Amino acid sequence: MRIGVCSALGFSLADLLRAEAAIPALKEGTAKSVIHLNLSGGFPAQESFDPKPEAPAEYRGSFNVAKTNTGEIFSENFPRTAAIADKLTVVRSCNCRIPDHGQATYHLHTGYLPTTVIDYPQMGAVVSQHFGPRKKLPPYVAIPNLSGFTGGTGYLSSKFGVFKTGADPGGNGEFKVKDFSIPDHVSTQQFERRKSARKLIENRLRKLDAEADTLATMDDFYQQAYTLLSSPKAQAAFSLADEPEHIRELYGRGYKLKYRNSNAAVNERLLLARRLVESGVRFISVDYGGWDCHVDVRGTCLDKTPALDHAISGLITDLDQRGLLDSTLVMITSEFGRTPKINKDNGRDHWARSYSMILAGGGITRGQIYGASDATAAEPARDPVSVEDFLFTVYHQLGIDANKELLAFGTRPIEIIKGGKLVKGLVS
Amino acid sequence: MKCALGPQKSVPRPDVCVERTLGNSLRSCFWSAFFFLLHLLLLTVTDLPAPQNRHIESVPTRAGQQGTMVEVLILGNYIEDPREIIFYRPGIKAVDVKQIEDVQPRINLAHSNDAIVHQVVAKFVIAPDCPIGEHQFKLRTRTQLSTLSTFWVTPYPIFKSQAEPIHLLGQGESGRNDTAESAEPLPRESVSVLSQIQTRRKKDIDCYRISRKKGERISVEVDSVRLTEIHYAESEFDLAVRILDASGKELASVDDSALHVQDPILSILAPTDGDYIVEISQSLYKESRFVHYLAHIGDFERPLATFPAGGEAGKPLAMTLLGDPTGPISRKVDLPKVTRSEYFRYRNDAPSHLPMRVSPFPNVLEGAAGEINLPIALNGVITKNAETDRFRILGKRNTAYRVNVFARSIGTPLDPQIEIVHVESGEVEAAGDDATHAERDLWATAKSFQLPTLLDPAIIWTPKHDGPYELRIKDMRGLGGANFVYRIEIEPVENAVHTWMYARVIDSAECSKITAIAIPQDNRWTLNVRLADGHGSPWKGKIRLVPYGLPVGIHMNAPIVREGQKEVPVEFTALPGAKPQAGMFTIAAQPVDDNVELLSRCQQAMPFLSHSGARAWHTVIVDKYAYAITDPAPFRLEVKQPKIPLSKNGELFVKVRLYRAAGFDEPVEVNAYWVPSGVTAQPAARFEKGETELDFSFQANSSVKPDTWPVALQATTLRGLYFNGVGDVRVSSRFFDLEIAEPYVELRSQPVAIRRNQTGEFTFQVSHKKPINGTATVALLGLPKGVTAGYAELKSTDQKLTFRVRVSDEALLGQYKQLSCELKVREGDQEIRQRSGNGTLRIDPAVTP
Repeated sequence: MRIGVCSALGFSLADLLRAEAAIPALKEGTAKSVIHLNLSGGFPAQESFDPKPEAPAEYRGSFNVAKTNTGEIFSENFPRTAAIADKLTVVRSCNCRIPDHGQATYHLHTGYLPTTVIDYPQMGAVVSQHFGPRKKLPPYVAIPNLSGFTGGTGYLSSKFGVFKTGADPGGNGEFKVKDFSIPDHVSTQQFERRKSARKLIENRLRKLDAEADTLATMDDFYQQAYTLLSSPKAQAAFSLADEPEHIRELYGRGYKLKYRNSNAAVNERLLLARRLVESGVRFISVDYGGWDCHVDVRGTCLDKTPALDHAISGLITDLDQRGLLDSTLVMITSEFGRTPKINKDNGRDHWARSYSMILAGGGITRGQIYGASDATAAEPARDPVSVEDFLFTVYHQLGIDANKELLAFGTRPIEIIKGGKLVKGLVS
Repeated sequence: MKCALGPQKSVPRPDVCVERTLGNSLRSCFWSAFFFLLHLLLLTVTDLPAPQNRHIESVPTRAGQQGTMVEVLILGNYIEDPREIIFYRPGIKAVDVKQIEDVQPRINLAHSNDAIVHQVVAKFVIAPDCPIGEHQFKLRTRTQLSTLSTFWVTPYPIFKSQAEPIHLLGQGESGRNDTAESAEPLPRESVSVLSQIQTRRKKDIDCYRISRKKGERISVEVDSVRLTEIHYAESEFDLAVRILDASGKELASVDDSALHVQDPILSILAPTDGDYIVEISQSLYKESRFVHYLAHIGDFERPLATFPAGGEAGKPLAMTLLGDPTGPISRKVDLPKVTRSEYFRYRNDAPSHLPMRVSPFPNVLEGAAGEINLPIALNGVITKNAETDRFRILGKRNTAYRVNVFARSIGTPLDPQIEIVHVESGEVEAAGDDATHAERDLWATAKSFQLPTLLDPAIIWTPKHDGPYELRIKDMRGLGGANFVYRIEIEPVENAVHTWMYARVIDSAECSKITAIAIPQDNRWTLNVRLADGHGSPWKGKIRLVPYGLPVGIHMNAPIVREGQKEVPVEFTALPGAKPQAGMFTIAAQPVDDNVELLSRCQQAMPFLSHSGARAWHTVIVDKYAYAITDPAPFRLEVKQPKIPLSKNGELFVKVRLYRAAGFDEPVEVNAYWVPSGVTAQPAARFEKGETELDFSFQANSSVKPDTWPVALQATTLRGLYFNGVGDVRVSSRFFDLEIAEPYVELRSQPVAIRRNQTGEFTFQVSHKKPINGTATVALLGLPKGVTAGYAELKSTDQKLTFRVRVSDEALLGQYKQLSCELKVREGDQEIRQRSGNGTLRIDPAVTP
């Protein structure tokens, strides 16, 4: 039974219910939820939100620009997002330290560069630890998964870990969340037998274990978890079945990726993310990777940006229409950017010194371009924003003081973000 | 043993396969292909990258015996319509090359959206005197010249195992030859077992049983890393060998060898009459790979080194073979006549050669008395730990010598370190330990490719004095042994410039689009030839590139290589009516002005078995280039000769035209693969479906020297793998002259401050460098949102350039740097652009009433 094994995935239903029972409610910030869309692999700012049409051809790349509804310019790859630019903020002066996928991804998700001594928690885990679950849904969900580079719960308990849907709402088959269904090959009778077997073992352990009380409480959590398996509300939150056609169209559908011969899926993932926000999930991680375009950045962008443009504009528009944008912070990130100059393979290589990320909603100033890169997007020209500052600001909007120290290993206090500060120009 | 046989369970039967029927071979090939594809399928659902993006992804029949004919299956993509197979060295002829039923279902490859979909079968006729070892080949198809693949030749019969493939075993079952009890019997004569270790479920062990009389050899030599064709892999190809007696007691084992690095060699004498087990397994267990191996098992001599390790050209050499279990063996060999030092492959009855050297100067052996004149080859053995060998040589003042040491290079365990000491003063004038790739004459090999030969020093020594010097050699680790043979060649440095072609792209796969000289009939292809100075070569000057071996149907047009230039575009034209064909050729560098003799060799290096970080375990190095004339391309590319120069700090657009054959309307991409230093080309431009004209731009930086260079553009279809061009048809334009000239102007400015809601002037001081023909239109670039400036005009008589700059109230306050000007000048029907200036604008708050 998957509910019994999903701890291997991080957060189990039993963890969820136990956490909800244990954590007192803290005061939330302006942002009640976060949708984190990560464009892993190193997203090219030049082909998206910081085009350089006046730069020489080998810097500016292959694309023209689209005028935003705020009078700025985006790449022509993002016409739909340009039309809703008044609802979001582009940070064009992001910079980090390491142009290495693994280390930079960990940095982005935890606020720290990896060390061999301490494993730091992901932002979602910290949010989970601070606020716990809401409406009996996991506080931290990944659609469909999180890369191993992103870290985990670090020094926090594994109960604050991410709940991965496993399945992809944009995939070809029927979307079934792994831990919310009894596997096809397990019959109801087998399921009941396994429940009984587990109970027998636990009864035996209870007699032997010094912490029998703790174990005893597990019964209740499991019982609730079993109930949740058949909960229509939980099932509904993780299903797109009742989304009306015009909403599906708003996010875009049917996008295919030529390079991978697969569905783009980012549109359905973001739609599911919105549903989870409505249902009470606090932090949703969505990945739309494959941006490591050392070869043929043009082809990569032509392949991948139409779906992304449609999905971003759909999400922001939908949240705004529903009145959720002010309480939902959307952050669109990448571990680093791409080199200013196109290489000999018509690609761009890793570049950490200047790139763009997006924030929207959750109290972030609307319609702003924050910071600027220089003439070839090589360095921040104005108002540089570090990863620590970026994350600190998101924590601030959530109502979490990232200067706060959490306890690692029982006694060691560690700041949630070390050396970060609030970027006042980003918040309204 | 997991042999490539059909799935039928069969009775184990020892068999030596000397000749096969076509039917048997094809059936065997089919199942080989089946398991190979299954293997790939399994890989694609794991996190391991599969082989990727080469024309030839696999040749499941990895080896054949001298003097036989073998049916060979070739799996890959974009290899439909095969025409011929060409080999890099003589000994094998491929006949009956034909496509057979395509692979169904297609097997997706990692790193791309492509797949293995095609298979070709050919008969390889292997001559009785075909050199043993690796043979590199390429396949010509109707439109392609494939990436390189390999096939191995052995002197022994190929042994066909009867053990069950692991896929057919039930749960808990062991492979048929996984234990000493189930070992497959081998004949007494030496055989080459061609098989695979398969490790998807558990560690696979292959055991073979042989009978020996007391004192007879049990020799085993395994080729695996060098045999492996998979591009991307890890340590799973590192195999180890054990020899056990009939009771299972281990008599000897080996993992690596000095001669073949990760591939093991083991030879012992049977202690008693009886049966013995040869066990082959992975050195470190790693799952999810098929590991090809060719295990030579028999009673052959297996020396590990010769002493001396070389001799004088054209003379007989008496030498001792070291390392055989029977003890030293005396042999004589007639060395070939050569004019320059080079490698010589000594062959006894072992399944692989012993590398030696042959030089046009005499040998001296260690212990020789007296002072030694140069040039010379010093030979010795570091037999004991902490031993240092010394030679007294006579140096000639101010003569540059190349001192080249061969130890790991010829497969001995010595890690040599040398120093040359002036006897009278005691001064160490030269010393060497490890060497670079270029110093070891591996100018085309990737820096990341680690080779034992890099442990051998190669230094340039120029004596400060006439007279005696002492050359000392020792093992860097202080080790010694009977096989620690070395050879030191000391000769005056030679004028040498070599040619090579860069063959790799990201992740170290061979890059078809930059290496394959596949020229469509009545069309042309241009690629970059690189040059490398020989180690210590002092010669500098202009170079002419001369081809050898091209057929009459191909014309090579190479510009004169300027002094110091290390890369040059070379144009190949397949003449109208040239017969489609493929072959090998070389390109030599020859001096243009000097009457000097210039040594010039060719090299190309294709990485195989690359692992994480794209560091190859095996790189195939060839000394020829392959060409092919293919069927006509459906398009031709022309660039209109620009009438105006590219200005420093400027941009120039050239007119490009694509001539499409009737019915061809595919998109075609255009690129400049070579531009002179200081010039950049725009990223690839594309003729979209049906388009025939576009403008392509070049930019020059501010430090480029005025000059004129031949440049060509290349055009490629986009039907194949963009990653490396496999499957695409490529042509290039003719060379056109790209002239780089001084800029029109230089602009300088002072910082300017303008308040919101005001209009101000931004002025540049103009310094004219050459006359502007008429009036230039100038735009001010780098203005932030809310700031606008109109165009300005500039004539040759103007000393100032002024823009009217309007700042609105939505402009963000602050300082904006990197404002520059772009001049546009019309010259005839072309436009030249030049940039200059680096201004700063500060936006201040509006004045409040």
